[in-house]
Amino acid sequence: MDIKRVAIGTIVGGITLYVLGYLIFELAFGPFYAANGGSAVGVFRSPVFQWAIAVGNFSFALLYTLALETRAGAPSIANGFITGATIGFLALFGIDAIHYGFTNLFRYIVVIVDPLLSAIHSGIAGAVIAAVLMRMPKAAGLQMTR
Amino acid sequence: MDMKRLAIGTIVGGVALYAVGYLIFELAFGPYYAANVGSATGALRSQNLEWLLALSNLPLALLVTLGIESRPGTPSIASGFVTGAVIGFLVWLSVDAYYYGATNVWRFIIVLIDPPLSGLAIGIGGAVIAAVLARMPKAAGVQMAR
Repeated sequence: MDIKRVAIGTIVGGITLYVLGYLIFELAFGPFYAANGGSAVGVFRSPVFQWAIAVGNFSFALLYTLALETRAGAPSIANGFITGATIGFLALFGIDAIHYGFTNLFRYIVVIVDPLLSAIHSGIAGAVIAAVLMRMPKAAGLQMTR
Repeated sequence: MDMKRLAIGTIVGGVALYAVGYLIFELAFGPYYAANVGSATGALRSQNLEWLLALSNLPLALLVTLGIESRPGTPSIASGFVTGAVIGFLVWLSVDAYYYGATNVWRFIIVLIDPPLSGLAIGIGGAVIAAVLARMPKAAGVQMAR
C-alpha cells in the first residue's frame, strides 16, 4: 500500500465529497430533507459544525481510496465511479434503515431517496479519486507473488 | 464475481451482524447510548422496528462480502475481520461525524465510542463471512490475465 497515493486520494476525495455534498444535500435537496423530518423536535443544528462534516467526508474518502487501491489493476474513472457508488449506496441504505428503525428523525421516504443520492455523491467522488490516482505512478518495490 | 458466494456471504453476514449488533449495541451498550442522547427531544423510538433493523444488516453484509471477494487470494478469518473492521470503523466514523455536525441527536462522546464498537461488530461479521467463504469452492472459469 502506497501511503502517498492513499493520502492524496483521501484529500482529493474529501474535498470533492464536501463540495458535492453541499450542492446535493443542502442546495438541491435541503428542502426535501427539511420537509421529511420525523416526529423528533429540535433535531437540526443551526449553524452546523462544518469541521464534523469535513471529518465525515475525509473518512468516507479514505474508504473509497482504500477500496480502489486494494483492487487488482490500475484504477479507471469508470471503476472509480462504480466503487464509490456501490459503497455509498450500500453503506447509506444500511445506515438509513438502522436510523429509521431506532429513531424518529426522518420519514420512510428518506430511507429510499438518501441512498440513491449518496450513490451519485460517492460515485462522482470515487471517479475523481480514480482520475487522480491514474496520473500518479505507483511506488516501485517488491511485489509479492500471488 | 460469483453470485452464489455473494448471496451466501450476505445472508450469513446479515445474521451475524444482527446477532452481534444486538449483543453490543442493545444489551451491553444500550443504556450508554440512551444516556448520551443530545438536546433533540423524542429522537429515539420507544419501540424499535426490529424487522427493519434485521434487514438493515443485509446491505452492510453485502458491502463487507464485496470487500472480501474483491481482494486477491482465498479469504481468511483474519483478513475478513480486518476488512469488516476497516469498513465498519470508517463508515460509522463518517456517519457519526455527519450526524454530530448536522443534528442534536447525540453528544460528542458517541462520535468517539461508536466507530470502534461498530468496527468490532462489523469485523466479527467479516470474520464469519470469510470463514464461510473459505469453505466454499470458487466457481471455475476463465480468469483475466493481470
